[in-house]
Amino acid sequence: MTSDFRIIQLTVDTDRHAHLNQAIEDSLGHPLPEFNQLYSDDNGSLAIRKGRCDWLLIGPPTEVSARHEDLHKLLSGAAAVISDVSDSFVAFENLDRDSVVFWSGVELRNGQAKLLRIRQTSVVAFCIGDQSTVLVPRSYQTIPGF
Amino acid sequence: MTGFRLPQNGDRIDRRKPMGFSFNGAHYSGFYGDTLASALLANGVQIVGRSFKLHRPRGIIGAGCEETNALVQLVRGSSSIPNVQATMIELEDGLVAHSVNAWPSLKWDIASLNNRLRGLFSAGFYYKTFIWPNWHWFEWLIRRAAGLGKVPAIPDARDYAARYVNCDLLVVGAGIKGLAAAKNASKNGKSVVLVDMNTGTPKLPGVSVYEKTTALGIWDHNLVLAALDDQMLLRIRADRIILATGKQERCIAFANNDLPGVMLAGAIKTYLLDYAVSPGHSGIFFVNNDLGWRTAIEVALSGVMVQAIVDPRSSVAPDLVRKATACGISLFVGSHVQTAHGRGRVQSVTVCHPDGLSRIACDFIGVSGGWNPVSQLWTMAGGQTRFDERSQSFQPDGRLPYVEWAGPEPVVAGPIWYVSEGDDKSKFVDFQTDVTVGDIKLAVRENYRSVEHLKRYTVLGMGVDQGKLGSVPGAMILADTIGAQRGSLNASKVRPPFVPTSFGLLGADMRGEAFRPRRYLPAHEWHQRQGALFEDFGWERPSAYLRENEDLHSAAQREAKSVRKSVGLLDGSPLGKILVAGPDAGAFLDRVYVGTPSTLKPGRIRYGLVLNENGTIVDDGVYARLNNGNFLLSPSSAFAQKMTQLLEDLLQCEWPMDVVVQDVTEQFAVWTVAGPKARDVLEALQPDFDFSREGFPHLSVREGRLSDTAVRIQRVSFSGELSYEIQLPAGQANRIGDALLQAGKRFDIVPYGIEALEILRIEKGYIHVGTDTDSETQPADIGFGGAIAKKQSDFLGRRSLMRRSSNLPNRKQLVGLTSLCGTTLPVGGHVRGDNGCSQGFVTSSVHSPTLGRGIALALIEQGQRRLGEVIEVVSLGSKWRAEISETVSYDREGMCIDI
Repeated sequence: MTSDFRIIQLTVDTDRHAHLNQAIEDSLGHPLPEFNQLYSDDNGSLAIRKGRCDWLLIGPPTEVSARHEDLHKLLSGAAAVISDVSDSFVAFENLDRDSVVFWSGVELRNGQAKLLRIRQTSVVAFCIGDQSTVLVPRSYQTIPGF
Repeated sequence: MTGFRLPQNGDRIDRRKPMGFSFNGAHYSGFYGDTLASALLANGVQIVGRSFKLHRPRGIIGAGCEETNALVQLVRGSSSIPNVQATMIELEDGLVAHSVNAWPSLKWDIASLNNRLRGLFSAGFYYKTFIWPNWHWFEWLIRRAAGLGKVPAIPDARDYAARYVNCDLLVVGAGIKGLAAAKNASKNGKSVVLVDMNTGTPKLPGVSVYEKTTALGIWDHNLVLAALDDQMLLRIRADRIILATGKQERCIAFANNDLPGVMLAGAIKTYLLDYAVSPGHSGIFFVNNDLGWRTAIEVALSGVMVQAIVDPRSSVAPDLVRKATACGISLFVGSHVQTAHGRGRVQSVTVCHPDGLSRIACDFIGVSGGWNPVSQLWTMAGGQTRFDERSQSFQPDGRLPYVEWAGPEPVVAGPIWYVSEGDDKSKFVDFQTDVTVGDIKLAVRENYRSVEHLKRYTVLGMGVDQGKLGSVPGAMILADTIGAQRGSLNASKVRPPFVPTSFGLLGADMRGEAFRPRRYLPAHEWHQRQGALFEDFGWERPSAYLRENEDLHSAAQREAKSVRKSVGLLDGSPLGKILVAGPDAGAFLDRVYVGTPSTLKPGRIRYGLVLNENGTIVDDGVYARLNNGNFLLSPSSAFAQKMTQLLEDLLQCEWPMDVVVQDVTEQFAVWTVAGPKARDVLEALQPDFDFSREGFPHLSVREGRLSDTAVRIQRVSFSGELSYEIQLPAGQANRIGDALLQAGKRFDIVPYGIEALEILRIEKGYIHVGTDTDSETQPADIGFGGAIAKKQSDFLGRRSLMRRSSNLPNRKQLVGLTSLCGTTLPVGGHVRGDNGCSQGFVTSSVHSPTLGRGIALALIEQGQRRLGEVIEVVSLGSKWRAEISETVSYDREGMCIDI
């Protein structure tokens, strides 16, 4: 990820613990998005559902740190993990729609976030306006030819 | 007419652009826009190949992807491509092609003797003739004869690519119906893609047209793979697919119908109108449908002499009769062609008509036995077909959710598949594989009455053309022969790809480097700076760091010695890092590991084995209980991803416990500092926690800061020395690597690679799962039977450990070996027993610089009872003597690990 943003991964089973869902959303101040949806707000905060129990929360460092701490307190003792995973990804930003289609076969539209495969590697991609960002696992950062 | 090139017609060629090419070493010329087939015909080349089995001379029969005779080896630079249909090759200046399956030359092919001995080569002859005394006696001969063309000896140098295309509607085929469908959908605001295997598709607003593009097949979820000019693979996802793939002409089998000069009537028309090429000077047409008559009339109107039209039907539309007569064509209605005559090409035909037999001199025969819809893609998508009596063809039937058939109207045709008079063994149904009417009848006599059995017994439809010409007639002749209702037997199952496709194209963007993406360590640049020699261990990892005058072996020996003597630095970043949390985490992991993680105290670490349902060891590694109660698992590098998948699978499908799993392998780099001076090095980096022997004991974990970086440190060892694994954010890997080198300078710290690690772990008898275990190795085989005996609760694989086979006395057990020959033992070398049989094998082997001798680990039958026994290891004809020893060769008391 670029130095401007940090990423935390929240892993919690909200199906099993429905009450946590509301508490987390209250703490974050926004809903936990569903698959294929991108949450974004004017502060530059983003949220993406990455797995059955996994969400990526992306934003400016100070905001993400605060969220990290709040969630840590909120979920202490629960079946949940909150980790800073900023170093797990390399971000390829400002990609046009055709580039994403060319490399992944999937079309991303404004407000969408998807889990894609690029050259046999799982990546996370989201689109705001006409521009897309692809988060590639750090060890595979040489894979795409963007 | 110049040769066989006509002065008129030729929509596809540009006569202002002549092109030279060579075929079988002879030089010819053609025009821009020609195919290799049309250019060969224009130059009067009649024989273009030899059949597969009988090596009969063959000429061009079609004009498209149905071509079954004209297969060539296409030379591309220093490589070549076998079995390319000449009808599908666009002529290029300087193009070089050779015929296949003929030696020493196409004209004088020594294997054409097969044709004279054809009585021996009936259907299924190889099942009957090569079974005694032993099939393998003939294997070399069959292997030599098998196949068409030559596989290039060097890698395919062509640059293939792939791209994805998404659309609302995909139209396959740019005929009238295809164009109309594309235009309508585009008007309605849909994104439309139109693919066609030919050029010349008109431009339509809002429609993406891909010319020279062949749809190879349809898969689930509306995925269509298409080959663009045999260079780019298109992966097309469409909401809806319309198949406007047109129709394909059929043959009629008559005696010697494979002579060069016998062609599909439609192909003759294509060559005449599109390429201005006539297949000969004077011909006849043998047709059973009106479209065949129109073709014959058009050919005659183009200035090529058509002597006769022969039609087995009893009546024909009067206007066709009138037009044909006006062209001076003799008409034989209610008649058929009995035999074609000629040597090397058609010279005359015998026509059987109501008044008797007539012999007509001609040099080509146009055949039209009716038309089949090109429904291969339809059936690949799961579509059904029904037999249409009027057209004598199988027409697409019913509906599919997302795929629509928009084929042409069926062409009414007479019911004739082969001519009854004459020798059935010279009436060819599948030209390429030499399957005749006689072969089908023989197969029926031998009780092969199903289409699929017939296909496998006679190889009908198994050639490069995949039965485009032969499959349907073959099924119809089978139905006739067994007395089944016509149309009750359809052709055999069609499978992709629709046309021959190179493996390179199918691999496309997943070839070479992209076949298995390389993974790089977070500190890759750091390793480069240290002179690392990288090797692919799933990740690009340093094997060793070579110094001047060192090879890999000597560098690894030096590095291992340094770790034993002072301190070394290893990048262990690929090691798995999986967080497991939740009230049930301990109970869950008790079921996953052979040990009992739930009893682990916070801050402590334990070693564990993971088994599969078969009781076989699939991974080993340590797990830690963090101070917040969560667990951190460290599966081996190779099993890290699989471990996450296994845990998720167990939680979602087997044991729905209150646990979550998070894989953070990518987030953290790992530096391992190992050796007697390891603690000194780390203390120099000012940790903010107690690093003393007592304050940070072996098999414990601490979290804090080191050199101003948040770290998690596990005191574990895979070298047998005092060792710390430092986990830190991957972005800090280079900086901390430099800091560790600097701090260790006064202890002569060295970076060490995987080869040195191998030496260290083998000296200590530490296993590497997958290397020192095989698909049968269970915990007791490596000395972990005690852990299982103690454990009360159930765990993955436990039940299998109770099977009789798991407790047999002759199981292979892990032991150490000491070489008695002064050399290292060969990995994979077998331990030979007194009876000459293998009793096990060497799994890992090194020369120990510390012990000064070759040591190894091995799986040997009853090995743990045979300590001290001298055995013989054999490999590739050489022998070694070795003594069975304990697995641990160095520091058996374990003093070094806890200094």
